[in-house]
Amino acid sequence: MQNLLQFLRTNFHYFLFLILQGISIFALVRFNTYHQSVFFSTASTVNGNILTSRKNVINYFLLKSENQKLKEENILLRTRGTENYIFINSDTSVVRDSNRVVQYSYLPAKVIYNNIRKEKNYFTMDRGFKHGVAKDMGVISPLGVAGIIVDVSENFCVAMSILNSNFVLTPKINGRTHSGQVRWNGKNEDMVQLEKISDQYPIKVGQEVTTTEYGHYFPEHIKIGNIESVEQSDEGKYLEIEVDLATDMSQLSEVYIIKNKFGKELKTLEAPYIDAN
Amino acid sequence: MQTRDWIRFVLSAIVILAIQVLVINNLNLNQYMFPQLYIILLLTLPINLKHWIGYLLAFALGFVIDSFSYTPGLQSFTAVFIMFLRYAYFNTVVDKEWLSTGIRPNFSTADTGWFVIYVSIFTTVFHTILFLMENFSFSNFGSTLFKIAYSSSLAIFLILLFLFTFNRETANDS
Repeated sequence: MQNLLQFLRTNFHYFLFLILQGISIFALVRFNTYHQSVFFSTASTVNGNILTSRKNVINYFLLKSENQKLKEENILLRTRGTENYIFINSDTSVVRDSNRVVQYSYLPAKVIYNNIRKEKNYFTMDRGFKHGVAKDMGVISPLGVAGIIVDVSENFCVAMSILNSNFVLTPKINGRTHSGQVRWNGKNEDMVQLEKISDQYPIKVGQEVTTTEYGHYFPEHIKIGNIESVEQSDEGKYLEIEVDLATDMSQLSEVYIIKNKFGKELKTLEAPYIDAN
Repeated sequence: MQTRDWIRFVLSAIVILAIQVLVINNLNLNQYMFPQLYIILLLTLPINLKHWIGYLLAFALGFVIDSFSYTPGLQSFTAVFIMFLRYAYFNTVVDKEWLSTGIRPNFSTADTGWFVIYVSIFTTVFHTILFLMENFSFSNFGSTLFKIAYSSSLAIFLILLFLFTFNRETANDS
């Protein structure tokens, strides 16, 4: 102990030097916009590469459960195919024409970093503007909504998780659009909350909550989750609804980025009239 | 340093910082010339000054310049670093006997040839670190090199001129 104190005393000026340099570097990176951006862009490039190789290893061990999820999704998609439907009414027939254009297309991506421990969570994927990703695109997992892209670099993109208190979405409950919003209160990572839903609607436990086209992030009818509990709000007039998330955000791995072909056009058109937030 | 020396140091620091902040920083000579005259204060400190006092002085001077030029951390980092190099130099290269005299390097107290080289090297190193830290990456390295060359040569000239003019007579009693 005495030796340690002696060591500290004799080398005090070295520590002082290092402390002062540390303070200066901190101030430089924290308070200068230019230095901050250089620091963080370098750091994120390095981070992105390290996280990709880390994820490569981890993915190998998750293959089994991922496979299971994809199987489930396949079953879901199969049942939606036209071959499963029989035309009872012989007067109608399907016509393939040029009146329809594909509005939403899907880009598969892998989550290379994910966090659910904070109040504002984000996750990173291995797709960037090189692959056609842009800001404000929706992200879904095979089971339901996962997030919205907020930042894109050349090879990677960052999405705001649905487990983020800034994430807001208009819900559809049992196929009917409600003027409320889906928002996470930061507590339980399996549950999101529905806010501002008027108590005059007959909402029951177990009903399905899906997306609307509002906001132009997601197509309609993408699952958000099922209603877990409904309670009268303290303020009256509104309901307090807990929704059990369809996506397991802690196990997020294979996701799809949704490109809305008309997203930009719609946003530009609406921009002067609707508050952008 | 005695009280009298400290008072003189503080007064000259105020004058030199004022010249640096109010005059030199506002001279738009060309896009490469940003001489830092204030390191004159660091270079002429007594050579046996306690390390921790030296570091704190360098940090404080850099902090003042930083707060006037809106670059938090930049000058204080460079000033503390140049102080580190100065101690490293005096503790290894210079012989112990001369070190213990505690002189303040100047035209009158040291060999002129040595002093000019001393000022030139430390000023150049200072500007090198400063502009590398300012650029913070190796892009635009050519313009950084120009900045280093122009600024440090102008700074060396100004510092030597300044010391030659003002400190000659008063140096005897230090």
